[in-house]
Amino acid sequence: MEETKCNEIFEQLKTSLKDFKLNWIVEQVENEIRIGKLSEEEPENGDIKYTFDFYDNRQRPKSKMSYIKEYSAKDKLILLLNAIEEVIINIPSMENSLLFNLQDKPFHIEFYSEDPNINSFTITRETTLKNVELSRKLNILLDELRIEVHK
Amino acid sequence: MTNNNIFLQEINNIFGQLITTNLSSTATSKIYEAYIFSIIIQAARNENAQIVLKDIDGNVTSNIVFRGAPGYIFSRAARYTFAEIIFPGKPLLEAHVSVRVTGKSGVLHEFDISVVYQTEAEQCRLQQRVPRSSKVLIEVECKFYSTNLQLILARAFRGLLSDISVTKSFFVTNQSPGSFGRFLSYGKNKWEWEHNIVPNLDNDVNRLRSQFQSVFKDFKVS
Repeated sequence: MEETKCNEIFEQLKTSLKDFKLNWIVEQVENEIRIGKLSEEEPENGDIKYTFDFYDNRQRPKSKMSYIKEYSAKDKLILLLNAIEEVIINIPSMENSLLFNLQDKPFHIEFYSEDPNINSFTITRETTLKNVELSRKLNILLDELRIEVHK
Repeated sequence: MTNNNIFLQEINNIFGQLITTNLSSTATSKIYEAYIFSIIIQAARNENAQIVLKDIDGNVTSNIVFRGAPGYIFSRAARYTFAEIIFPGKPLLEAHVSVRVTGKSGVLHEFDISVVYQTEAEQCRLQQRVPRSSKVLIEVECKFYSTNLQLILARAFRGLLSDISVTKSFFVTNQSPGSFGRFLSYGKNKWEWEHNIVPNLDNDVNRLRSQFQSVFKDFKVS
């Protein structure tokens, strides 16, 4: 997939996540992009952000250098797709595992917060099963989109 | 319409149907803690422990309430659930989610998961005090992130360890090991770290469960 198309999809997905109040996923991805990609391979000219020498100035036969590269448009999109998968695929699976593996198989689990700034919430079998079903469909779409990105 | 547009439209449709109240940053962290709690319970059960879910008054319960934010073990703000872990002939244990514990310096720390000696937990509920870290068998720091973990989290974990005297501490995350893995592997002795702990990655989850089982195995012969 061309870089411009990757950028376009990246921006559209970001907007969707924000619209559905999942902005924190975008924030974590953007933070990761700001930090850059750690690599031990020397990048091509112009690609490098910083260089670290783990062994400072001491004489060593093979100094291990770490480079921080900029994420490409393709990398950024893959990063966002992976982040969506981590949250929207894995959390419903965890809820499912909790509701069906805990002793007595509870119908719901409450998370009560004494801190007024943190919302209490409840997971129920009904909402979990719905999200699990949707996350399965989403997983297929994310996999297909990843294949398109690498074409 | 191109293939990509169709993908995006379908993804949007799914986002629209999702129940997102449980998908906030805080909620996902709490669900992750509860998920790791359930792995500890399985580990104890695999080591032939009897598990009983109880509320603050010690009554058996099936109404599960976990802390949505760190709190005190003696709190009566809700009928919080803990798991009583019974190994025959051994002191009783309790597994808790998100309670505060005192370190060697007397400072309060928040343990995402803790397995505490019941004698200590009961005294704390009675006297409205905080458990001492020396009375904690297992402590787990749970880190659920959508992207790579920042090194500062692993550094904070190593800092925490200098002030606590827990039998075994764990740093557990859903993410792949990046710099934090290298950092935590170096000089490892009283802590363990695990990565990729999510339901569909059985190998990683089994490894974590085995590590919890090892702590229980040692506890049974101590």
